[in-house]
Amino acid sequence: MKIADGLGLSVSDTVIIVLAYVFCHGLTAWVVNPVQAYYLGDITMFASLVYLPHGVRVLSIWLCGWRALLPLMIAALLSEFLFTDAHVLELTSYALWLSIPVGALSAYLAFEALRIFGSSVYAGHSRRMDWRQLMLVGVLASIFNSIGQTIVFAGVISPGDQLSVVVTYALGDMIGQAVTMLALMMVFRTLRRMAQSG
Amino acid sequence: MDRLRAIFELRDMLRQMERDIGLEDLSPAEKDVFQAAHTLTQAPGQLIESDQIRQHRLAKNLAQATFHRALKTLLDLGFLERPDGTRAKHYLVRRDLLHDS
Repeated sequence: MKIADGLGLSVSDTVIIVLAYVFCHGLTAWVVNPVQAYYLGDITMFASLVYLPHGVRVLSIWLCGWRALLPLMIAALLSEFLFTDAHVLELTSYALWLSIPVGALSAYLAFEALRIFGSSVYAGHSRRMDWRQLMLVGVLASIFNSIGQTIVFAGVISPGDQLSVVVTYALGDMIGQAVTMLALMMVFRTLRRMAQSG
Repeated sequence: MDRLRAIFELRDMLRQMERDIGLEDLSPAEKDVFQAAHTLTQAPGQLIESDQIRQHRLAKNLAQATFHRALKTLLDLGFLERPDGTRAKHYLVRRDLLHDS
């Protein structure tokens, strides 16, 4: 079943992207952030050192292209309402409407930047996709995202903290993507072994 | 891009990642078949037939089904390739693996 022309992604694909993103965001909010807050303090309010949904962003755009943008934005909005503390949400609510598209667009821009420079790495465009290329796109996307988010939250973050927030955003996205891909790899490996033994 | 193709591409990429970080483990039969194909390749890009691999001393004692399963796994993993436009049962050892073993 396809959504109207122009959106071009099936409902089930949209649901998969949204669920994967929300699940990863929940893990980040409930597992990663408390540990990080214990060691690093207030910076957690803006950025995670292991931001798992970045992997979902990169993989979704890789597989679906621009069609993944809307599901990613819906997922990000849903995640914010589900997992962000009410007082943080209130403090950042005016920026949220910019922050969400910036997050989704960062991955798309990274893929488009490579395509414009003659090295399209979208799924199906090269005969064999190298995971290192995907990590590279993720790094580029994390740089775009960290710059964008710092601009969006410029009024909330104190000037003294801005550099650490930029670095945390970029590192968090990169590490998050690596962890997500490793986790997916282990899932596929386990499924394969179960199929072989069964 | 259809969903099945997307899953295959994702699976292949993650399988490659698994191999690159040293987690890939080939069965003894798969190692023998790959070693046989590798030994039969005199020059990069040379096509080899499945019968040639089958007759190699490393592979000739394998059961038929085991041999074909090993070939399929090696193809799935990207150790062997079947270039577009070539006849069935013709394989190529991936160029960058030719000096690995």
